[in-house]
Amino acid sequence: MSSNPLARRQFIKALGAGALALPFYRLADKTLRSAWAEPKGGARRLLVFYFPDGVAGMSADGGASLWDPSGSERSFVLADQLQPLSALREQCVFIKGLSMGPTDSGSHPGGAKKLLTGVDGGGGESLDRLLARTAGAGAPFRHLYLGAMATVNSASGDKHISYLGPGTTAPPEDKPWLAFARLFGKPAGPGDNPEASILDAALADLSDLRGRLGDTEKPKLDLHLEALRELERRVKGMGPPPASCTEPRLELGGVDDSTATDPALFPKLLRAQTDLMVQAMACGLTQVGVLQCSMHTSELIMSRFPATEMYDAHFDMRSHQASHYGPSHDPAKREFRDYVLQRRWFVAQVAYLLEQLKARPEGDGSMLDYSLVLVCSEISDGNTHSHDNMPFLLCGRGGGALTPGRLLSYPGRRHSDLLLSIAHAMNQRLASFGQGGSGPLPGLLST
Amino acid sequence: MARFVAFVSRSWWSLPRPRGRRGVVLGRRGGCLGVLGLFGVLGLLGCKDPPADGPAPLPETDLNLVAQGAALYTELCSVCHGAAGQGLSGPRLRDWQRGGDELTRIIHERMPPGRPDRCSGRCPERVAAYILSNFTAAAPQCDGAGAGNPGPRQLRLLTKREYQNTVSALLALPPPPTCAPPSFAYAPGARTLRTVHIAGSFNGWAPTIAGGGWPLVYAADRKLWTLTQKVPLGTHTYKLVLDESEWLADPSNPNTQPDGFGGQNSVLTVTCEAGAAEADPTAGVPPDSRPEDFPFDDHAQARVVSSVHVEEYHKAAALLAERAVKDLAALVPCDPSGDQAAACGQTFVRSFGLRALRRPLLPAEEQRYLTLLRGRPSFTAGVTAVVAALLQTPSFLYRSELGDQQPDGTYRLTGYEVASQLSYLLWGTMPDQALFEAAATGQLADPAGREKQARRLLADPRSREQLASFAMQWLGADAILSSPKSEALFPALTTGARKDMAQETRQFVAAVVFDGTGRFDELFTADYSFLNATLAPIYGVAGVTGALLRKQPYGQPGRAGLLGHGSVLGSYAYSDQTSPIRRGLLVRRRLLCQELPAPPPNAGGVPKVNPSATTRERFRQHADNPFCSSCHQFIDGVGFGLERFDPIGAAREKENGQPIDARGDLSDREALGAGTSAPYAGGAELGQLIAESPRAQACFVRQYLRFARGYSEDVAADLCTLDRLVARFQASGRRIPELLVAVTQSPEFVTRR
Repeated sequence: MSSNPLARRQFIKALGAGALALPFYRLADKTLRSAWAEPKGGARRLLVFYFPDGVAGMSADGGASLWDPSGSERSFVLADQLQPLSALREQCVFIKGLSMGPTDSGSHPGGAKKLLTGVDGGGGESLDRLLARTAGAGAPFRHLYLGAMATVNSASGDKHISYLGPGTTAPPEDKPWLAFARLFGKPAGPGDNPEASILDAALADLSDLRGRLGDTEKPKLDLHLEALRELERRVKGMGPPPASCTEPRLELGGVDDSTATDPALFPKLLRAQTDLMVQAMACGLTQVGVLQCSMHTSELIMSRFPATEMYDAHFDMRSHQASHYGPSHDPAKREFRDYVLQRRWFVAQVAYLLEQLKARPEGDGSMLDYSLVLVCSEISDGNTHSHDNMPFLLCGRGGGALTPGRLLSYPGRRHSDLLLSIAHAMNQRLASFGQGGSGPLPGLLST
Repeated sequence: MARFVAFVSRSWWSLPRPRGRRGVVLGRRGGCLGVLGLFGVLGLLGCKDPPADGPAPLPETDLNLVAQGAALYTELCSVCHGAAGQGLSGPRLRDWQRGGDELTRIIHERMPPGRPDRCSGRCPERVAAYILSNFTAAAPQCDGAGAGNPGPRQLRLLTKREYQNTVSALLALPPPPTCAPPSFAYAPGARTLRTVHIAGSFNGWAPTIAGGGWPLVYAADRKLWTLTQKVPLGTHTYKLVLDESEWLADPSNPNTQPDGFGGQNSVLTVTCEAGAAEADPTAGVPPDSRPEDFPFDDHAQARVVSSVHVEEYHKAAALLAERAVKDLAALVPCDPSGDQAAACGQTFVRSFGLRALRRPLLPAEEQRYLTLLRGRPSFTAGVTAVVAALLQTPSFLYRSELGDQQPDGTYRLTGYEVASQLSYLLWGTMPDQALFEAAATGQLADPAGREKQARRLLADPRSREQLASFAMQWLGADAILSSPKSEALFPALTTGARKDMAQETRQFVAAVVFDGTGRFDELFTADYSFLNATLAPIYGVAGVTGALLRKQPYGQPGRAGLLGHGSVLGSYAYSDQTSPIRRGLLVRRRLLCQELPAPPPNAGGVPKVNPSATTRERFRQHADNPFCSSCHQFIDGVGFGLERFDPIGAAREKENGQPIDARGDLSDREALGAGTSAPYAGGAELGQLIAESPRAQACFVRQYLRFARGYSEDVAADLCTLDRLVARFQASGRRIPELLVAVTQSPEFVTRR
């Protein structure tokens, strides 16, 4: 009775809006699906998992990182904060030593802007968006950006990590019920499916407008055009659900509009978004997804998460507050203890995500075998705000592109090259990505 | 030239040492004053005063210095100051007017912030040489006649707020149908039952009616047990209970889940409150992205149409069109029956198209929408398709600021574009009929015509809502709706109280501007606000009854104006403690337009709540540590004076049993780094200091201009535009309605480049 699964049909019925009340999947049409049912090798999808405010890395007084695994490539020991991944250590590459280079002073926003763009100040398209319009362009939804309390109170762009273009973000969807309806509901249309001609009118108007304007506002209109074409493909390209796509379900566990910012419900919200992301990918709806937990300098009161070690009814401990645990790893300090527990909790959510992907068969293995999961935060140590030795994990087998279960170290290399390597694993052989890189990270990919 | 050569030849240790302020000695790690120094100058550049210390040209022999400086600049400075010195998180360098000595000194002492050791030796002079030789453009000039800086031609995506307002104005939809409460029914067939009740997660699975079960009533004529019951929002599980003994899933509800005992529970999801409006089809449109330093939802370049936008516009358009055609006569101004159908179709496409796109349709557009209309099996279906199509076409979704090209190469906005400018600025929605007519007859081209319309719009209640929206964003006060607060400490801050606080501020601002003096000063000095029976006890005001917000005197010497509002005080506090830092930054950034750098790495966190110390004592380190105090001297001192307001804005005299010291200092009020002091005690005195501050008054103008134009001003290029507006604002006695009109009067309002 604790969980209340909300099946699609009933959910749509509950919405009460007539046009949504049709039992209908929105899925890739057969031609689109067959295009990647026989993949040419390499990763079929990328999933980015972001959590805010870094990890307990090397402390200001030089205390050794409590994140970095120690040991050799094949034989290493996971540090405390990574313990929830111990059963999944063979599924991840643990990456040490990468630097994001100089970024904006104040470094939380600077890091968030550079994390997926590789460019200072968010001055470029982020990797996920690039892959969405290249490797993932055949999917009905080129990109899926889901958040858990990631747009609380404002949609200030510097809080978000996915960049459509230089300095341009779009907020993640924080409400799983809206994302669910978007992914699995029928797009509304008046009468006898005239949607295509209605979209034709918008496309024609847009094309005329671009023609009249020349270079003025071209980037804006180009993005608009791409988005309209994506919708057009979805409207025109529906097919029956494939057998592998099981009945989508959404477990909200009591979260709704009125509780959307209650920190006690954050775990349920993130769980719902994670499930939704996995289902969307399992149903072939998207190949590129970003899951964003809260946002940098997070106000999330993690001491309100019920039934966790962090729980304390009498003390509010926010993520960002804990991250400033002081100059040393001092277990006597409440901030430090909570910070480690918080990071471990985020890692446990990564473990859940990986298990979900692992549990779903695909090809001769599981979804995880064909996926890449990038785990990241915008700074390394929360107190020093360092951008060196960033806490990156890359999990999954990427369709054979990645051999997980390893510890790799790249001192002196920029994280742009990790992003570049991921692009290569997705069969996008770019020469470079972002700033400061010098080529794909050696030894990371199998090819 | 001589000056520059002199400075490059000087050794760094001969440079003047930093001047300490009020006994605070700034060491090499003092990161703040350097940044502030730059800002102070930029903020105070006079319009007519020629620069006293202009940039010196660079001797050719120093080209090598410049080249070395370029690499250093790129590595160390460009992140914050921009590759072209245009300013990003750090200040703009293109207008540097204080010469090379000063620049080198600041770099040497304080740059990069917190890490001046990264630029030592000859690094500062090399970087300074590069900055001076590459970035310093001509000094900003204001030609006295007031030629301002026309903004860029742009397409401004409707904000979510504007989109929702526009849709409802365009379609004049009746309020959406209300949500019916769920009904339950059970047909017993041949069985005779004593009772039937509902037990579920919403009533503690009550096994009996006496224990809280919801009884169904038997209607003998229909042989049916029924109940209509309000159910809380959310997903619930339940069962029917027959005769308080037999439990079964509701046979009329197909949605079930295992009950864990081998049977099934029925599942019910309630997504809208009984009696409340049905879901708004526009609710899924994403919120508006904005850069971190821009307070408003209408940033022109940061907002683009993503796939999610397109999907939501598309879905909403279809639903809204279906609703709109239910009253076809209201939508179509002619009779479509019989042989008039063709003519009426054209009339409709033209008239509705004009209102939807806020300009007459182009011939190709008219043809396109007529084809769409006529391709449908019925006139109604055709109208539905046209409405749905127009609601997602770019010319509907973007406000056009493109204009027609003039002989001098600039662009002049069309009458229709100006009409939209006026209505979206002052009403937050599309133009009304009178504005369309003024546009069509060319009345908006001259300032007098615009003034007439602006004053008309300001007399309409829509401008109250719009100005309230501006104020809430300017102050960031909507955060009170979601800011986490400890329920244990602040049980009074219910969801209702949060909404009341936000509404209080909206109502207060509208009342000051439109019903009261209209003066900026009153926003910060008013000894009254709008309170009801929920808010008054929080504020400690006695004798207020009823749910309606009414004008009430505060009756508290320390509380005045906006800085006494729970929405403002609570939005800048933590869940369990106040934050003098946040409140101080609110004043510096939003009220005085004074930028402060982000905290440096390893800054340390918020001191833990200490049951035996006041907040001021806990932040003592900020003053005691010179590294911290270099910035926090400008921040904490401002916030300390508001310490007699707790994290939800309630009055308090003591904290942890100790009396609260509510003295503060709005130092450097007019210019950071100037070294002035403005001591005060309590929120009312702080309000007074802000109300009378020329800096705060000019900042208000700046904030409004950001809101009006959708981008931040360029301090140099917009100098004259700002100057002129500030002058008009001051001349009007700082009456806000006059500022709103003044914005529409400048030539830049209708020109673009």
